[in-house]
Amino acid sequence: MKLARLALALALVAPLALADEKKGPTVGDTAPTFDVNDVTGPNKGKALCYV
Amino acid sequence: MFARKADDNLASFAKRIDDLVAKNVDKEAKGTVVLLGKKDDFSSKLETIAKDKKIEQVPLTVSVDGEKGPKQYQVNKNVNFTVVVYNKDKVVTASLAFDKLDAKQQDEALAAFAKVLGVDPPKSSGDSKKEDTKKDDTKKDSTKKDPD
Repeated sequence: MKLARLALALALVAPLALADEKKGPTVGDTAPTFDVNDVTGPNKGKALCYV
Repeated sequence: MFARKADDNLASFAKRIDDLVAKNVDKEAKGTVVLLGKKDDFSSKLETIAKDKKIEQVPLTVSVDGEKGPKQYQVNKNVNFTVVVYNKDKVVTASLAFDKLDAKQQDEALAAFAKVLGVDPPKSSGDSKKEDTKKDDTKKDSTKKDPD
């Protein structure tokens, strides 16, 4: 019974751990837009989106 | 690409992206380096990298969203470098996460970039080092062969 409880606990924790390992957009997704503070180049000092 | 630290490997990688973009401007190649953190912590370092490496095509930037980065990207907080490659239609073709950015990881990321551009991947930085070594060896060998 203890073994069953442990297995259930692991089953519940594993998806959370995997979710935390997500590393950005998946292949096939559309790249989302986002803003950055430009530090170099012609747009230095501006906040803008390059996507 | 997203980075959590601006070290020498990031500088060399940024330069290699810059070179690839410069060679493929006609294909509308673009690249952006995004540091995840506070602007004040990275600005000086990024300016130095751009100046020393003569990076002209690729903007070096800092995320407005701080260490977490853009929410939509869900950048893994446990890795230092995340490279996202997308095509002209803005469809993601590669999403890579690295703890370090040595020649091997750089080559992998640049190969994904070159693939979406439809060009050959740039020469490996590891190969160039090997060639330099060979040249050095040749010099040594030629010295040895000289009977005088």
